[in-house]
Amino acid sequence: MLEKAKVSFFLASRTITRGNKGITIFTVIVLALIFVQLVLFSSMLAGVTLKFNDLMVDFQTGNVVVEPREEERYIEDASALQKKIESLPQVVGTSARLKTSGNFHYKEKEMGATVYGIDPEDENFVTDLEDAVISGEFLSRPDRGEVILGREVSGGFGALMESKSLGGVEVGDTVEITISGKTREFRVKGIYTTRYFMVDAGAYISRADLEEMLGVQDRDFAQEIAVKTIAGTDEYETRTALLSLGIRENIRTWREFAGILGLIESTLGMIRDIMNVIGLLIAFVIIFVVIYVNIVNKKRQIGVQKAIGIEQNVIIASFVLQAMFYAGIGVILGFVFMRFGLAPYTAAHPVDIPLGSMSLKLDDVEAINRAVLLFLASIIGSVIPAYTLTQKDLLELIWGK
Amino acid sequence: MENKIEREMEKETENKNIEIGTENIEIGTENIEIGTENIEIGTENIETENKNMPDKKEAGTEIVVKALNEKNVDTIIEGIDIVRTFLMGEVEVRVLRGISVKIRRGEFVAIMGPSGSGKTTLLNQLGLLDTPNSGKVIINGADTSLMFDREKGRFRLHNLGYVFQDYALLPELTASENVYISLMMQGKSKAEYESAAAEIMEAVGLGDRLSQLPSKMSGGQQQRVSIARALAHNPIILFADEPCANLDSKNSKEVLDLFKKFNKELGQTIVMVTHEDWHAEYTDRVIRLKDGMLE
Ligand SMILES: Nc1ncnc2c1ncn2[C@@H]1O[C@H](COP(=O)(O)OP(=O)(O)OP(=O)(O)O)[C@@H](O)[C@H]1O
Ligand SMILES: [Mg+2]
Repeated sequence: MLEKAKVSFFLASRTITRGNKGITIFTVIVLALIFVQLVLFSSMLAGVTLKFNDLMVDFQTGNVVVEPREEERYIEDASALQKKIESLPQVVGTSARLKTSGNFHYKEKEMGATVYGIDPEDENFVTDLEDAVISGEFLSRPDRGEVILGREVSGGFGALMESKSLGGVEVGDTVEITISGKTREFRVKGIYTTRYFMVDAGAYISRADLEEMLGVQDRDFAQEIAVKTIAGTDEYETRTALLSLGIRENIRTWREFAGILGLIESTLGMIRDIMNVIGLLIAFVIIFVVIYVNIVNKKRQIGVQKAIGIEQNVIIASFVLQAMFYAGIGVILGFVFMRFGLAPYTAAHPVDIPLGSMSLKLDDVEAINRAVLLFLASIIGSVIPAYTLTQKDLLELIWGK
Repeated sequence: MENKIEREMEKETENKNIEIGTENIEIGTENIEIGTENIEIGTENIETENKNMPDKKEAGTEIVVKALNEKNVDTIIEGIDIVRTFLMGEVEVRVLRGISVKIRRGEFVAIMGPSGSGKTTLLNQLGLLDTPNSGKVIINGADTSLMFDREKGRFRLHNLGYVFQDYALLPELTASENVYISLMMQGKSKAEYESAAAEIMEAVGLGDRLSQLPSKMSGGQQQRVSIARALAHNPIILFADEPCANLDSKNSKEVLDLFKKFNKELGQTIVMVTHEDWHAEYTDRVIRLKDGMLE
């Protein structure tokens, strides 16, 4: 048994070290690419999801969102509630917002987008919107009649859906906004981008302006209160703390709030699973073809080995060992490329995709899983051709008859 | 172990065998000797012999040893009524039409005949590289028709050696690796197979080229490596199919001289297919084939 393994190892190692270098390199590169392809989509997805999460917390919801009670449209006595919440030690700040959909007009262009009515200073405690302004300035407390537009509304600044936007509004321009039948002009004070389509398709005006347009002025109404906590605080603990303050309003963590994102995530997850199956099939076929061609080229050599009495199992094992070696090196190369090449590169230079900006995040468990599957594929992909070929008659193997 | 015993036995009988020379070797159906028992059946036909077959049904090495214990064991390969046909599309081509042949221990035999007469096919049957449609090949008393492919493989590994027309060296192995791979497969230790390879490489005049790759060698050198490979495990028979076909006359002569040397000095039995009359002059006897029959 041992001497057989020795001969297999011997033959495999000689082929690897002395065989056609081009074929070896080609095979290894193909396997590395297949590995990358197998982990790429889930890495993309992991990267996108990760950004979704940051995005939600940093630009929209904060960590926890308080919403009106069931059956109610508004939170009443919003500022009293804010004070109450801010009394908790882990709370950094709160922002009470009004939120509605509005219609924007600029020159011939028109589009719909979400309009938030905020208190700029409160907002700055909760989100990083101010840092996302790329042209002009963020709102300040006394501002009235001014608006901050996301780049998907303004257009320009690399907007991803340029054609749907207002087509190049600049700071200082005037846009008309229609909300519940009322139209008013607003001066554009700033344009922001978080590089995420969904957040960038919005606009911020002062809460007082929106109250007026909604006809709820001086009522201290809010539609949501976003709560930002100290980094590292568990969202569910925050919720428990809020509940124990006797708050009756609906409290959701950003995770629950991210309903649509969750949906996107699970859709992408499904696509990923399908892609994985297809990817594995393709990988298997490619591995099979590459190894098959490799082995068929060695038909005569197999015949000679068989003729001089080398056992079939030993010959098959030598090819399987080779394939495992190629797969091993391919996986390592692919992994190194992803882990130390592509992933850090995209982290430093995120790629703009319609959902926002994306960087790759390689999940180790996933990578190991793919590596094992690739290994299995290469074993099967080599056993089958090696077995069928060594089964053939010597006449056919040696003299091609 | 076995091989050594055989070798010694061979040496004892060597001179006698060679003296017996060409005339005394019975070919074909008229004059059949049965290997192990050494019974002269004389002019009886094959059917008679087949009746005797059950006596030698035991397979494999046991018989080899037993055969050696008998006195006057001369026949080392016996082909009995070998028929080999190939299917060419719909047509069945009878390449060997019932060939019976005997080769004695220590003989150097040439198989000759026109192109397409079935020389290679016959050699492949005798060398267990192919299986006849009917008939038997008995090597050293062992009826190979009773062996499974696996056993045949093991038999080839331990008992037979091959030299091919185009050398058929494994390109990724060095000269000595090519030579010792079968010893390695036999389970010999590193020290054993390396020294055996070095020794035989020395004997074929390539003692200084052990670690050279075949691609870096001339045709003549490659063929000598392949002879070394074929002989490294002391096979009981060496088969060579037109070993000089790709070589110029100088290299051909070297190869044939080597064959002659191993034949004379070690009593190596050699069966060689060739086209050239001057090659045949090196041999003890010529088996002529024509249209799948012995001439
Ligand atoms: N596997 C095969 N399938 C079909 N036909 C075959 C096969 N092997 C040999 N033949 C045919 O059998 C005949 C004899 O072939 P073989 O190779 O034994 O001849 P040969 O005497 O060695 O000829 P050469 O001198 O050209 O080498 C040829 O006609 C050949 O085409
Ligand atoms: Mg031939």
